[in-house]
Amino acid sequence: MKSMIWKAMCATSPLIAGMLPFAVAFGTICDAAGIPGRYAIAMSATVYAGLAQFVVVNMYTNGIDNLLLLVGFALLVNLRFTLMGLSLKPIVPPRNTWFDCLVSFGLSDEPYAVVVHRFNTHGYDLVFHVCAYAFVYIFWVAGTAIGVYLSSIIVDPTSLGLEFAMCAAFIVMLIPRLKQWDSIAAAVLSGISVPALTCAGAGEAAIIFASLGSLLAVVFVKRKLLKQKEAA
Amino acid sequence: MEHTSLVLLILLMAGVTYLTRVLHVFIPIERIPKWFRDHIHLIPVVIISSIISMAAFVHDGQMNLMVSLRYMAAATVTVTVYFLMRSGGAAVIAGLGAYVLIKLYLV
Repeated sequence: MKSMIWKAMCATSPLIAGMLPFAVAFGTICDAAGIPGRYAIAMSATVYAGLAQFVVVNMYTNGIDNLLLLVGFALLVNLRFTLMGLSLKPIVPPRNTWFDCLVSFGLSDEPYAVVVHRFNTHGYDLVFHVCAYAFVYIFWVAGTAIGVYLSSIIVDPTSLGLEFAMCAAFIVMLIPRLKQWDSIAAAVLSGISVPALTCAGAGEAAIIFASLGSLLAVVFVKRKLLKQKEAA
Repeated sequence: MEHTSLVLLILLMAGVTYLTRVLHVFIPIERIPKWFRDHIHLIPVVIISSIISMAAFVHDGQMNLMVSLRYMAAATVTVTVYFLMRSGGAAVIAGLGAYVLIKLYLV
């Protein structure tokens, strides 16, 4: 069990290194916006979704003009968590529903990628799964606390260049999955769609639109090819 | 805005975000359409690819060619080292090193 905790720590460390500057930046931004430290930390501990948190800070400083729009935006942007959860279903053995609900709280981009990568290379392990979720969560909250309480001496944590660590770790986790043409096509299509959709004004929701769009496009092409093959 | 409103806003966002996280628990795998189940392995691919693309090409909500070039150069180093050494850790360290160097001295 100890070795599995250590393995989870090692696997998540590059992602944590990339995520930590953003957590610290969030803390400093909250402090600059006049949000009391305890609320900033509570936000990281309960919302635990970078973009949604930045939106809350923005609304706090600018005033709430459309709450329904905010909820709709948060739902749309975070809908990828539902997709991630669905994709974990064939991997994760069925357990107690309450336990699953509790574990699901830790679902986010970084630990999800780590858990999927681990499953593909070594198989599924519950301790690894829970620890990966927990480490990223703890560092996100701790990073916010650092940002809040050390905001007077921190200049700009994102200027260190550590943000690329997260991107590099995602690249390393993506490559082994690109073995068949459908995965390669889906990855390329999704990657191209994001900047295109952003330019079209989709904003952060580009991730979910690009993911769903490219998935459906590949499924459509595969079914079309299958039908042609059957007809021939 | 009063702190009460801030607390309510935080709770609302926490609830909405948690809903998206927990929804899958209540969807039985048998209820998911077969065509979707057959392609469920593509979900990590499209999501991870989208996140990489967002990080590399979109900065502060818009595209910035210089920053993207920096990302692409460092990503090339990451991929090259990964294929040469077959080590994820080495690839991440090399890519990160390249990114920091490019940021400091080139672009």
